[in-house]
Amino acid sequence: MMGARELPARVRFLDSVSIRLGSERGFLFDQRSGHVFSLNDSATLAAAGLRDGTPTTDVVAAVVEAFDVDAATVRADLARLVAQLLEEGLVESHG
Amino acid sequence: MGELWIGVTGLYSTDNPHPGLGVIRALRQADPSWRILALIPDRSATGAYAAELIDAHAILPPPWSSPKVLGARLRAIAHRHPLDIVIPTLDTELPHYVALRGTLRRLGIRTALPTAAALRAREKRRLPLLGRQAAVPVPETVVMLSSEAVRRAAARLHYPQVVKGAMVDTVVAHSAEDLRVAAGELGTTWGYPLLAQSFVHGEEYDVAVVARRGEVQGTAVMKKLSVTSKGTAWAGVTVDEPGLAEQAGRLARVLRWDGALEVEFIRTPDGRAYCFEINPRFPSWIALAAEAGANLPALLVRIAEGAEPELIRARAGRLFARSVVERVFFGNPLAALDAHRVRGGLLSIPGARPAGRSSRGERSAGRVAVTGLNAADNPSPGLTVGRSLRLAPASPALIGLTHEILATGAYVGGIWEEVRLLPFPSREEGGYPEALIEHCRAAGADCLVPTLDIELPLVAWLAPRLAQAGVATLVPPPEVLASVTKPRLPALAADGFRLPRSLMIPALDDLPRVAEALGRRFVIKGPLADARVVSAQEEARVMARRLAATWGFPLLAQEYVEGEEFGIAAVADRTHRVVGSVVVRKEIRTLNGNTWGGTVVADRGLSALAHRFAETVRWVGPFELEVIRHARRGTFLIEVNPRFPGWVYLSAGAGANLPWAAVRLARGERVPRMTPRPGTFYVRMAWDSIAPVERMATLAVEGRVSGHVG
Repeated sequence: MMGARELPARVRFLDSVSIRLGSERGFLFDQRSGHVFSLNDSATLAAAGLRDGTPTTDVVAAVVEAFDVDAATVRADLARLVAQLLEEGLVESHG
Repeated sequence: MGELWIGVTGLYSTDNPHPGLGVIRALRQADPSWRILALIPDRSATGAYAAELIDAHAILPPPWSSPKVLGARLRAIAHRHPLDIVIPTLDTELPHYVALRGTLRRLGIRTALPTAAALRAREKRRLPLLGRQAAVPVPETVVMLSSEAVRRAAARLHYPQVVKGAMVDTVVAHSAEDLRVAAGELGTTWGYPLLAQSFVHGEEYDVAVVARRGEVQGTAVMKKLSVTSKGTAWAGVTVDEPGLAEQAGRLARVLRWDGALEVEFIRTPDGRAYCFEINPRFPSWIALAAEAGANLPALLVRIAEGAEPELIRARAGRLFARSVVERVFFGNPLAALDAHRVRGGLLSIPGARPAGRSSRGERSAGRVAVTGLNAADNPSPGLTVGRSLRLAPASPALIGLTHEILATGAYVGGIWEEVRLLPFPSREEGGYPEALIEHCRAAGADCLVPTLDIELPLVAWLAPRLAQAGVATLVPPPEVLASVTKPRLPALAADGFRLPRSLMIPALDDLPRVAEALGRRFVIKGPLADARVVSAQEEARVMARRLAATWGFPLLAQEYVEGEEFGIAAVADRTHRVVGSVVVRKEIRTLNGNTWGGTVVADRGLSALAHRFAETVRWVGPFELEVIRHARRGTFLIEVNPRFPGWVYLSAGAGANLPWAAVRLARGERVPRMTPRPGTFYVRMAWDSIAPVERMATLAVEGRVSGHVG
């Protein structure tokens, strides 16, 4: 099911999202809903890439390199993260 | 042009705080030249002790008096003292002010109030109709006019239900039995009708509005981040949610509302927002709106003055975290207040000062870590300990340690040099011991003051390792700590302490046996905290179930002892000698039985009790004894807490700074015996600290946050 998720080429955080990313943890605040999200280390690295406009394929590569996990797993995890961010209305996808 | 005097009501700033204090803070922020007259029914309105905010006080009849009585009193006040505008903030008194509109006009007192019809149309029982008119979803609501109606409704409703008093108060009922008991409590306190509202799962939002002739002039939308067991927001953040503001606007338009309004919503996971309550006044968190750029109380004043201000809207991302804070005075400054006069300057008497400010030979201040920063409605003592240490003659730098990013005391300004995030206290998992030592080391702390019951055994166990890391503590050995836990407390009777009869409650089925042994009325206690007095079997079952849901079984049952209540805070050195004790007579109580004000008394018997306790059990460090003095049977020891109480700032104000003594003893310094000043009085009030949401983000991401709240 997870593997079946499409991973958009690029993902952009909306302006209404405040992003605070550290070396191991991250924090997102949606100014419209008031929802706050805590990110673990790999999600933080991924969110940093998305925030900087990095293509998702490169985000996958960065996480693979940093955490020594296989690319298929990272791709599935990133697809799931992006799907959650889309569902929460925190990001918009392109491509 | 003369001064503008604004009268504000609703100053019970306790566990379900009235909005008055927040309204006054906002008014002060808008124009410091505005003068504030606190209108209170009696001296237990704890927000009326906010010295820096209030210029004068006057007694008003209680909200349940008639409009005629209120009108007469307002007339008397206005004849003797300037009163240009009045802002009532209580649901129960709004109808009176609306009925007195003409009287107020004749007295030259301006207001911004709804019509009587609008006020009625937003009543809880009429909410479903109003929702339909405004096309705003409302939860299913059943109106129960009598105890018989409660019994009938209880049998057919689906649970959970939210049971509400007609004006205020809420209890969530999970079963028919729960509903009957909750309705019994609410009916006794507030009368009928009561309401049962289907429980809607979702996230809560609050919209504060000021409207004129049904048109919104200003809004602030707040998402609740934490609530008390009564559903009162204790932390929240402003959001940019035009949808909810628009729905609130539709309700205001249908009502043709004038004045302040609070509209409460629950948003379900599918995005649908249900309006579950409309209150005809400002919410208690209204100071946040002002800080977020929408000073709605000031807007109301300008509308009352006849101005046509521009539309204002709160910006997103401002956080409020509510803490319980104490104010200390030499005697009750409102003691001179009576029902005949308006009194100014009552709070301008000098505040209490710590003793020994210029002591020679005080060691360097150092850096002290303090735990237990959640200062919510039943506050942990970390904030009050920190505030005491700030009053020390050589105030140390303070490091706040918390395991919750929303520990409200972490957001109070002027106390903490930095706040650090710890894992939840657990001996086996989560790395708490290592994290505690590492955080103390990294922060350069040379002393640790633990304040949570749950972590005390861990710190006692870790004391040698902390000492090796250069962190001093003053805690009893683990076996001494274990000897005063609630289940083992009755054993103190063998040492001559008088305790109420106590029995364990291993399971719900044991309640009849317990009730038979202890009498119809007794106290049920959780193993670490929480206590409820019960006086009927059904009530006992429901309360036991509620407590067990939080703490698990076994619970403790204690004989109910009637009498005057006292708290004794003390510190014992490593030879079990008490270096200082403060005895407080509990005076201001909430409906839940919590203490929000009291006076230091010189009571040799109770001081001696603290000395005897420390010597008998070989105690080391801070402790609190809770006692009840029965008129005939004498003094009963009802509770021992192995740490400072949540009111210990009073000790610093009374000249016997117990937290500072504990720090000095922990460091191996000699502390001479301290005597508190009798008559020193304290009140607690719920105070909203306001910060950018980034402070919470920094704590969550970095695990620590430095610098003062701003």
